Amino acid sequence: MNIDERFLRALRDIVGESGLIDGVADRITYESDALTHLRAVPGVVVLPVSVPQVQEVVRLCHSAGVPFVARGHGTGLSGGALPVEDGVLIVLTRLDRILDIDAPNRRMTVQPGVTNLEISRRAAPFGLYYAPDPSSQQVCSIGGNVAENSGGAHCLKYGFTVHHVLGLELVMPDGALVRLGGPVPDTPGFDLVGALVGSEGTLGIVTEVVLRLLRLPEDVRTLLAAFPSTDAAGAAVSGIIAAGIIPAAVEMMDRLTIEAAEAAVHPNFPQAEAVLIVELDGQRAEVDALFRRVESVCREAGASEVRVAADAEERARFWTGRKAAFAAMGRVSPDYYVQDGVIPRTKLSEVLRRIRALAGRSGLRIGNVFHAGDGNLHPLICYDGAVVGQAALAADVGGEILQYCVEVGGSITGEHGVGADKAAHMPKMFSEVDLDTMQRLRCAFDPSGLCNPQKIFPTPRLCGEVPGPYRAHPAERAGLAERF
Amino acid sequence: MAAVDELAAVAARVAGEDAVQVGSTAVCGVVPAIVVAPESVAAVSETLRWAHGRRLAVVPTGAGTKLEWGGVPRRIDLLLSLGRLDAVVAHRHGDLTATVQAGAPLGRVNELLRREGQWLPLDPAYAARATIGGIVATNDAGPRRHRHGAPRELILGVTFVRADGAIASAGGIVVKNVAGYDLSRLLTGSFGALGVVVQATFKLSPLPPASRTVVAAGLNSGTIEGAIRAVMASQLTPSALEVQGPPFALLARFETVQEASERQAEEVAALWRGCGAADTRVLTGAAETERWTAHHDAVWGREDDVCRIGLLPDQLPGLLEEFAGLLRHHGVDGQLAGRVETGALHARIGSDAAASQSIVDRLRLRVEGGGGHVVVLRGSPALRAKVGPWGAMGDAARVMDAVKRRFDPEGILSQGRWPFAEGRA
Repeated sequence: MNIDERFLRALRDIVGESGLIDGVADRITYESDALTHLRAVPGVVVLPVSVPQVQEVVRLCHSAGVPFVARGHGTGLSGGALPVEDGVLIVLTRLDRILDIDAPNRRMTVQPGVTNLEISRRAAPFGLYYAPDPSSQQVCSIGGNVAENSGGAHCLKYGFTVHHVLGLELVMPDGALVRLGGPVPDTPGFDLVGALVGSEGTLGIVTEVVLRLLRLPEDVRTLLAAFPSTDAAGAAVSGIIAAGIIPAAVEMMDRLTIEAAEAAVHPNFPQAEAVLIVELDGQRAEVDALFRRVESVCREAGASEVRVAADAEERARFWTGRKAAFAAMGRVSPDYYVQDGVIPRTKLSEVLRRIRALAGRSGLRIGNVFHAGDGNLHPLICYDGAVVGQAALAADVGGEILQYCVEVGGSITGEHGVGADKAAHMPKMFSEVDLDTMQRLRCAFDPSGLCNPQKIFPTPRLCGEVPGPYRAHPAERAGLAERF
Repeated sequence: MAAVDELAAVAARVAGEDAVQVGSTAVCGVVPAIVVAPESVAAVSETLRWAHGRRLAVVPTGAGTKLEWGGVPRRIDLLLSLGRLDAVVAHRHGDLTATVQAGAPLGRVNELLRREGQWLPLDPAYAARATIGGIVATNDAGPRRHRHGAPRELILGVTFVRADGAIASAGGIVVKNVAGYDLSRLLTGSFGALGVVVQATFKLSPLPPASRTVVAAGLNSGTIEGAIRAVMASQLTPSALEVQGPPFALLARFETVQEASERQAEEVAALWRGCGAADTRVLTGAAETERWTAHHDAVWGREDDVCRIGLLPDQLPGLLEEFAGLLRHHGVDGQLAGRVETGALHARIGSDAAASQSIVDRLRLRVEGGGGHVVVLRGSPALRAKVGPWGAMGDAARVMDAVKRRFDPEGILSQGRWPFAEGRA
């Protein structure tokens, strides 16, 4: 049904006047996440302050048949929090409390609106931290991290969000509250936490997260190495891995992104075709021994310069240059589109060659920033939205790069998610049967398909009753949807 | 259910003449009607399609090292052996990944990976014989879980055959990938109830160049708590940190470059001696290997009842003391071994059903309040019937039930191993 006056009154009863936004001008604020070219003004926005309020809102949507989308701080890059025009946008930023810090057991329990960096900040007095560190960590919310299974520069060694979430409290798409997993390992039953993390908000609304914290490492050593080509930098990465070393992070930037970062935040990077940032952390004796090997591998691979961060300040400068790379593209191009694809690391040279050729063919400049250790590419496709057709061309170029990734055995997304942006690309990676099988999970959680609809899957499906006799859904009878 | 001979005859047409065997040893006292061992993924698919149509109760199996874990199967029409699907499909050493078929024994997989100086860093129960499919199905992990995680941390992608015979994949072959739902993790630890895993891709690790293990033996509950706290507060980075007993010992393993391994071993030995652990030794080479074999065999070396315990790390010292007290009280033999920092333990209880029942009840009382659990992995059907193998699952059971119904609406897969939707098979 549509959102009518009666529905709005019921919503207002739940969240109060201060928790509801229904004016058009205010709703427009929420029309997109950080992927700004996909926009939809939500029918109404609510900002619940408690879990029971979230439950009540979801129950209301469920009984009225109104779609709903959860949103945190809106930093997502795949349109995962893109609203539904005739639906409710449930903004979780007011659920921002840290509920428990259990330092002896290295656990923290937080609400979804807490920012990623805040978790580490609050853990620091105990000598602990939260490992996943997406570039947006100062502003992105942990609820969004759970939805997208966010990574970051340090996931080569420490893994992604899914490796650090132990338990979840979830408001099911029918409004029921369930606890999945918990503070202890191996909770009996299916690994629903594993399935939930990265499900892009389509299986319910996470209202509490139990996180695993790590001890801050004794030693961190970082170097910046300049190379005459991305191939040489890639060879250095291969050499490091072949030496049996798993660095905490290995990041690569090419000439265009180095120039952009220089212009924006002046990290004083060397002029080069490529730079690598390599960071090792851990126990001092181990880091000492391995860091020397990394330095010599870089030199052997042809590094023209190797700078070792002398102190925390210099290390922070290296990272500022890297983490600002996306935003810095604004200095060299009116608009840019951040792509997120993954390749087996050994295919780096081959895929970069194809991307360079594509840049030449399309006439668009493409900068490259990657988590080189795990083959996660972030091509930055520069375009000018004011030039007719360039935005569409940039999107096509992005799609073509994904095709290259899939052709060498990679993925259409390493950390940004499928969302609304890449749903159409899913058949590049998965067969009809694969997608149908994934939809079975969705049907188990959300048989009515109201929870963050039109994300991940290229074709909407109806769930049907299981088990039981077949009954045609009205939409199916009308030929609007197909059943599996 | 149809007559065994007729089943076997049809199965032979579906899966191949040489794939079918009539009669097999019982699983928890349940004798499978027939055993089918397909030689290809396509034949697994055909077999399940047929079984699904006939609503036959199917239990997948590999080497059978963990086949009796969990709930007791109610009926087994068809024991589906993955033993012939045992290939290492790809070892992409430059990418630190490998794709392996379900029936491949972990020992043999690691022999192959070793040629490139890598391995799949898992050390579950019966590690040499245990197959990839069984390890994934049980999410079973050993001491190295401390550094490398359980199978669910290492799995990157999966291909499985659904209950209805359709072949589905999820995840991929790259270490970083968030495209689509993570069905690899959903299947990991599902005890064959959601689909039959035929192939999986894992993240690998370089083989460590050196190893040292420090063992502090003969600890009382006071010294053990201090010794655990000391190592947890230190900056040491062991690959395993284990407790075993009674009598209780702590083991810390350091697998890294030679110099760091030696230095850290000396450091922890000094720490533990300072905590009053007089009998602390540093082991390497054959003595080290032997000690870890003994550690494994303490729990898995006998056919006794075995429980899996999950608890908060700070509940551990109290649990150790209670476990030792319960064994004394009942006059039964038993051993506990597990991951100190993770809070994942295994406890063997000498075969005496009455004592096991009482001990499981008491341990559950102790840990469940803190969100912990005690699962009976292996035990007599009588024990499992009395205490329930899984313990409380809370409100998540409702969701698991719904997932099971969607993946296996006829309820043909691994009936009875979980308490969820059994369907109509």
